[in-house]
Amino acid sequence: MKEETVKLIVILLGVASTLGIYSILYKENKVFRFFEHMYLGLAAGYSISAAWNDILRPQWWTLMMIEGRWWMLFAIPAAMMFYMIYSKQNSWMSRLIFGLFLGATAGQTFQSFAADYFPKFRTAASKAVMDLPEVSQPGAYGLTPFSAALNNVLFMVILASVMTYFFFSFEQKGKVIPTVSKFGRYTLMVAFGALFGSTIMARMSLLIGRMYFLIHDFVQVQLLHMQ
Amino acid sequence: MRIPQLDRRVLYMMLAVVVAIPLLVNVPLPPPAITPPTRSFYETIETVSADPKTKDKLVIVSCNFGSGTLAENLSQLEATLNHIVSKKMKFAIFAFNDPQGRDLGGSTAQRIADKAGYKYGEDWVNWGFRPPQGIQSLLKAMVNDLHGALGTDVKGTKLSTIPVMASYKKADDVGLIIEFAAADTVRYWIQFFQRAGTAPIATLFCPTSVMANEAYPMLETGQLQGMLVGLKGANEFETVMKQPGFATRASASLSYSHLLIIFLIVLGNVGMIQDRKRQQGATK
Amino acid sequence: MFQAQHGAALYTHLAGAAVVSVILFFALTLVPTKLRRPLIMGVTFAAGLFYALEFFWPVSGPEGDQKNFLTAYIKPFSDITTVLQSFALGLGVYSLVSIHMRKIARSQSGWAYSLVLVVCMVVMVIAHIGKEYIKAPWVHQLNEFAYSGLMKSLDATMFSIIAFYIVSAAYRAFRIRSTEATILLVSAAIIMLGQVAIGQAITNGIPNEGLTANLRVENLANWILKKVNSPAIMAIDFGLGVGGLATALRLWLSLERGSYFEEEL
Repeated sequence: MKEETVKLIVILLGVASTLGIYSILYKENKVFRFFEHMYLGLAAGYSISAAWNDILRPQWWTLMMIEGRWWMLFAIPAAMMFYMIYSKQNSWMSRLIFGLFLGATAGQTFQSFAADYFPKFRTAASKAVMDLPEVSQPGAYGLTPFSAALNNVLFMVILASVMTYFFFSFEQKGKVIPTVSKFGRYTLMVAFGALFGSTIMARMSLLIGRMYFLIHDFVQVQLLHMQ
Repeated sequence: MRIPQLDRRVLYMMLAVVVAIPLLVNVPLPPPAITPPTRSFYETIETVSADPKTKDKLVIVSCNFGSGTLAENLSQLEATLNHIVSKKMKFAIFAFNDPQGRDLGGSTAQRIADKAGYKYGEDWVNWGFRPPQGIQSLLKAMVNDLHGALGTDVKGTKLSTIPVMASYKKADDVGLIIEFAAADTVRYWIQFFQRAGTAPIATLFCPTSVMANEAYPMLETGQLQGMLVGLKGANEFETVMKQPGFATRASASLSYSHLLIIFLIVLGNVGMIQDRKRQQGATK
Repeated sequence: MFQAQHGAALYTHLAGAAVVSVILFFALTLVPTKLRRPLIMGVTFAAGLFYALEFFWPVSGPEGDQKNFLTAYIKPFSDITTVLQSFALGLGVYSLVSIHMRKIARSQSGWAYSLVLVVCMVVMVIAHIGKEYIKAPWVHQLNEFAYSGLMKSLDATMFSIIAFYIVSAAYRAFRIRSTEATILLVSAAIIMLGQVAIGQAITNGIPNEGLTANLRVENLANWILKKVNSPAIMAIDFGLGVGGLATALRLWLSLERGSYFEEEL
């Protein structure tokens, strides 16, 4: 088959699958169900082949059979323990191997926590003592040191009030804590609004990508031979 | 005037039309404002490429996205790679979240490298894909020994025999990390690599728009030096670079689809207020 | 003992390893019930201890190449756990295939879709693994059709379809019914307008210098994202981080309770 023909078939398959999935927008139909199941099958097949091509072959099979590291064979009985989940008598063996992964993940948490959160704690704490260098940074339009300090105080207040809102260890009684907590809830709404705005942009971008494929790659380039 | 109840299919059609028209005909639009995360993204590349301490160091281009978010991540990648090659910086493509990232990143890099006269193995390299399950340990091992930890490139050639990698052996030889992602994968660089050498490595992030909000605190803390927010970030970057691409072409569709959403929210709320007033009138 | 072997010696060693594997496996099935839980707890603790010690143990060596006695074992341990996790993929595949094969065998409603799923899975496996081993053009073309033609498009389209549902939700569900909803809506509107060129054009008349620049919609949006969104997200993140650390400690020390952890073994 010529390369151009392959390219054309790839585009036609792309058009068919795009329109097939979009057909659900009109109503539930068999074409959509067909492409939906096709997608699930292809994605599952891709995961299997990626596991072999990118992990098992280079990191296990090649090491064992080409480089001669025969002890890699012990991975098979270890992996078999996962499948003991289907055995009534020996299902505990699957927990042994799951335990290994739970422990390893837990052990790695110390470093990830330290590297991820310590700089954040430091920034959060230093905001209170007038962290002002951003006055000269791009985007600090006409900010005076006073307004920068005000922004930093606001940052701290929002941080503290949102944390208060999520503090469930004791009952929030009195006047101060419920008020702070309520302010925290309002600022959370601002953040969720921002998140909603960003979500819209993300989804619109992906739709534009598909529309561009249909209009540009298929209609303009393939059908009308425009560039 | 009473606001009509619109069928969902009418709403879908409105969106399709609003998105499609600017792709079919040229709709005039003012250039986008360049937001601070984009500006600092651009300036970080400029600074790293000009600083004698970092200009000859390696740039890691981490492509952790798949075909699902191609519209956002690919345009960010194209614009950024164009900037990197214009600065004659050496770079390595890498993926650890989705094997598709290796292929999508690799083919884009190949295309841009060919245009810029970059040679594979001498000016750039594709480290390939490594599974996400072991990424923490891999990054830890890469800090002291890039060659040993990664082993081979995407073609199976030992990294120690690839000319471009001869002078890049550990984290201290990396001048910049740029993460293109559909998920929160930049954390791994921050947690296990960025500060593990003798000096922190400048790190830039290109998330999808929906991921960006979670990353803003990292700009505040200095863990990130710049960010391109989704397709609009790519559009801003293309504008700064004066190299219009897909993001610039998509800008009008993005703008008008946002206007449609705001219009529909307002319309829905006006309808609700009308209904409420009518109900109040009926009870009176 | 653990030395690489080649040729006939490799196969002899592999056979020996297989025999030892079978013996070890059967030995494990004979572990008495009361020893099972301590064994699981021991393995969990040891795996966690390895990473914890590697992180907390003091490092030495020249600057930029500092390590401790465990650092060298991080990569091999990680490689083997990655391989083991990949074998676990079979659990999911077995579950998926068994459900759909049962449907096909019993000709239950929608069996034809199950057939499509299974066939597509097999085709993708043949094409994607086959391209690594077979040089014949048909394999590469099949991979192009399955991956570039179908999967890439289906993946992108599935992600993009949410845009339509968002439009519908914006019209039907996004209502100003409370103070919280109003704040959310105003914030969303500013972000939406501030992110796109047409929205930014509304305040293009305001000079982008001096204090008045703060009234421009893109600067307002940026202020919300940096000064309101950031601390709010950071606060949530702190909660998640501390909670994650506490959960990790509970799992590591086998203190976690619940049906999975307290079940009879």
